[in-house]
This record gives sequence, C-alpha cells and structure tokens, in this order.
Amino acid sequence: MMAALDAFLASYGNLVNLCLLNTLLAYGVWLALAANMFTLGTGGFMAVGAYCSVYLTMQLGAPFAVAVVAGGLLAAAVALVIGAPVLRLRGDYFMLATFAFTEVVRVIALNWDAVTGGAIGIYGIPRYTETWQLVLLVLIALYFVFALRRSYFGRSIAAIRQDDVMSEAMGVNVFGQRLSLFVASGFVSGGVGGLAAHLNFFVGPSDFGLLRSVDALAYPILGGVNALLGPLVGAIFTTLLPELLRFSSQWREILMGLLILTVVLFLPGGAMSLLSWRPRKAAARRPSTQGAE
Amino acid sequence: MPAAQLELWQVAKRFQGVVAVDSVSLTATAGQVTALIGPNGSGKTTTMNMITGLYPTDAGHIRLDGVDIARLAPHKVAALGVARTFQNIRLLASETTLANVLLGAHRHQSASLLDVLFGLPAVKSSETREKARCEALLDLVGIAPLRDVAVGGLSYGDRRRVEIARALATKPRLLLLDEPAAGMNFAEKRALADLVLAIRDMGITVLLIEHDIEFVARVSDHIVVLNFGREIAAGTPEEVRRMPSVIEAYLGTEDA
Ligand SMILES: Nc1ncnc2c1ncn2[C@@H]1O[C@H](COP(=O)(O)OP(=O)(O)OP(=O)(O)O)[C@@H](O)[C@H]1O
Ligand SMILES: [Mg+2]
Repeated sequence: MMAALDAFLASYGNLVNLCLLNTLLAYGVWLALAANMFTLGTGGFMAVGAYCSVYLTMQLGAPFAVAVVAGGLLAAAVALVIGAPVLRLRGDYFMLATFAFTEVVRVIALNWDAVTGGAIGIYGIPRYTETWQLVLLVLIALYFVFALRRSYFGRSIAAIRQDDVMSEAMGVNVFGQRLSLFVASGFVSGGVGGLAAHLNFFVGPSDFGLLRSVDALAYPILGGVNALLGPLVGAIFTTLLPELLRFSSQWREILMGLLILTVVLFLPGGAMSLLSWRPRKAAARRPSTQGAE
Repeated sequence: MPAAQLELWQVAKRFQGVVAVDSVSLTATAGQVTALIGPNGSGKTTTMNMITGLYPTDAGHIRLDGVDIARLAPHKVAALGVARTFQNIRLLASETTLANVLLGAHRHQSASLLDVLFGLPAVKSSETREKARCEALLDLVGIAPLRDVAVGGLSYGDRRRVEIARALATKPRLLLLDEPAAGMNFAEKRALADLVLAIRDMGITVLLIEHDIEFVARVSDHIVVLNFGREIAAGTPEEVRRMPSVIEAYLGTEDA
C-alpha cells in the first residue's frame, strides 16, 4: 500500500503538490470572492509572502514554518494597508486597483535586487514544502471554510455578496467584514507564496503576475462559489486539464479564457451547481398563508 | 428598550441638480405610528434612505432621541435601533424565509469569529437563541408555515411580511416601513394593519410610507404629507383629510 503510494508520488508528485497548492490558493481567493471582491491582488500577495519567507529561511536561517507564517502575515499587513482605500472602489475599479497592486509588487521585485534577486530571481531555495504539509493545510482550510459558511458570519457574507446595501441596512458592517476577508485572503495567498517558493527551488518576478492572479480567481469561479468544494474542484480541474491534454502554454491560456467565459455565461454557480440540478422545490409552489386569515 | 423619537429638521437631498427632498421637517413621536404620504416622486423613500444612512444628507439634522445620526454609516444607524423594509422588496431570493429573517438577527449573535472557527459551544447556543427568536417573529407576522420555503417563490404579500419579520429581528426601537401594503389584497391589508398596531404596542415607534389612504387612516396617530420634497401638511388623520392643500396635492390627483 505504502509502496504503491510512493510509486505514485514518484511519478506524479509534482502534479499532486501543484493541485494541493492551487487548492489552498483557491480557498484564499474564495474568502475575497465570497463577499463579491474580484481580487487580482493574489499574485502580489503571493510574491510578498514568497520573497519574505525565502529571505527568512535563506538569509536569516529562520525555521520553515515561521518563515511561511511570517510571509502570510506580511501579505496580510499589506492587504490591510491597501484594503482600506481599495475596498471603497466599486466592481471594475476594485479589480483594476488590485491588478495595479500586483504590477507594483512585480516591478519592485524586478528592481530590489538585494532581496528578490532582481530579474534573475532567486535560485537554490531549499525544498522544505512536503506533500503531507499541503494535505494538512488543505484539510484545515476546508474545515475553516466549512465552519465559517455555516455560521452567522457565512450568512452575512452570502448576504453581502447578493445585496450589500440591504445587508448594511440590516446592521451588517459590510466594510469591516470585507476588509477582514480581504486581509484573510491576503494571508492565505502570502502563505501559499511561501510554500510555492520552497517547493520549486526558484522564485522570479514573472511567477506572480497578472496571469497567476487570473488563474487563482478562476479556480473558485469555475468550481463554484456557493459550494464548499467548489474551489477545490475548480483548482484541481484547472491544474490537471492542461497536463492531461498536454497543451502548449498559449493554448492553455486561450482554453482557460474560453472556459471562464462559458462558465460565467452559462453556469454562474460554477461546476458544483451541476450536482444540485434538480426540479424546482415543490415547496415554492405551496400556497401562501394569506388564506389562513 | 423604550421606543425612540425621531426628529427631522430641514433635511434636504439633491441628485445632480434634481431636488429629491427640498426641506423636510417632521417628528415621529415615540411609541406612535406616523405616516409619511404624498404623490409619486415626492421624496418619501429618499427621506427614509437618509434616515437609515444609505444617503448622506445635503442639509438639516436627523435626530434619534436627540442624537444626530445624519453622518452615521447605515450599520451604525441600525445598531442604534433603526430598522426598515424596502419598497422594492430586497430579500435573498434563493434563501429560506427563516434564513432571511436570521440576517436581521446578525448583530445580536454573540459568538466571536474564533468561537466559530474552533466550533466552540457559544456558537450553538447563540444560534439556537436567535433561531427561536426569529421563529417567534415568523409566527407574529403570520408566516410560520413558510419557514423553510425559499422566499423567491412566495407571494408579494408574504415577501413583504418576511421583510417586516427581518426588520423586527434587529430588535428595533424605530421601524420604517416603505409601502408595506403595496401588492396586498384586502384581507392581507387588514391583517397588516393589525400587525402594525401590534408592533406599536410592543413599544416600537413606526414611520410608515403608504399610498393606501384607508390603511393609513386606520393605523396612524399622525400623518405628514409631502409634495415636491416639502411637507405641506401634518396632523391627525381626520385633520389631514379635511385640508384643502392635501386634497389638491394628493387625494385630488388620485381621484381625478
Ligand atoms: N438615487 C437617485 N438618483 C437620482 N434621482 C433619484 C434617486 N432617488 C430618488 N431620485 C429622485 O428623487 C425624487 C424622489 O424620489 P423618491 O423615491 O424619494 O419618491 P417617493 O416619494 O418615494 O415616490 P414613490 O411613491 O413613487 O415611491 C424622484 O424624482 C426620483 O426620481
Ligand atoms: Mg418610494
């Protein structure tokens, strides 16, 4: 049994790790998306977390776990600082502003040679990230999202997503909840950045650009924002599909674009909504109470 | 929690040159039902949006028990005990009646985020308490059998009652109702009138926007009439009914 698992990991280990890492990232993005924040800041937060944690392990000799958490915390702090002004923007402008943030981080990474290695990046990063750690983190993320969704916070987040003006009038601190979620999303993205850096031996400024942000946003959208397993399904599907079909990277991008377009237009609930397709609840046709009076 | 007193003094609101509310002064006396009536576009909903903090005022004061609330964010106004319903019903269509009403109970939940994430018992007790309170409210407004039905499939009248239950779930001291009887049939309106009076008797001040004059006359202690963003008359139902300016501005246009 163990031998079979070892053999499987030997040939597919990289893909498994990538799936797990992207799943984690998908839940990080879900935190923002659940309150209607279409963030393109994910790449920027990953970069902050990645460079911070690599600096800590390689330059300061910090323990791996401490470095990853610190990377997440630094990204969360950055999210807190940019969140306050950016969250006052609506829809398109929020996307544009978070994209601009990712770009700014990329340009800083290109030029701050002492910490980021500039355009060349950083090579020879020790490989500390292990599959079991990623599995554990995915399970923790799943549990937290599960607990959050079924609590009254989950209820208010869903309400914010559907009608923020009404939610605010009902006493929900919409700005406060959005900011908390944005910061939490930054934390997870930063942590994933640190984990990714210690998995790949290398980080460079092009690792965490717009493309990374769009991919990360696509995971929960493709899988479904309303379902607990939506982000996981979206992340794994999106990670495996090009590998299975062995696309060139250009085709991959075209395919991803078409896929997102299709889902947004024809399946707004994401892939997971296919599972819950059933006849309209008979209850909806139940007579109203008006006759009872 | 005693009923709250609401006072508006020369409140105004403009939208890019369009004067929605020119200057409105009114008092919703604590423990009473005050009606705000007037023709379409006279600024009633805009006034309510300013009271609840959804629109910032351009001028004037809005005082709740003497405290100016005109600059407060909507959730802070709600926290002071102001709740409302919406003229264009704003419910979460795919959610059940109970889930919708529970949103109103949001600010009375006592479990913290850490309680939630680590599944501590405080979550369950807080949720059970609020659920029981919301179920009692469903009973009060007369939609208890619809507890687990998605609100998207409910009749107009029932959805309006879900909105009232949700507003009551915030434990208001002042309840603002924007055309609660719109789309209701005769029997539903009668039941709604009783409900409004019951809410008043619970010690909640009510400010009501409504076009149905019979309904207004039945439930109101005091009526304020708006036209073109100004109050043109105020008084008891009997007084207001007899005022020529009101008949001309409001009743006249409907009867003509
Ligand atoms: N957000 C807005 N932007 C621009 N104009 C607005 C806005 N809200 C209201 N108005 C305008 O302000 C005026 C007053 O509107 P309001 O909705 O307050 O009227 P009302 O008395 O509630 O009418 P009704 O009885 O039809 O509900 C109208 O001319 C309306 O077009
Ligand atoms: Mg109106």
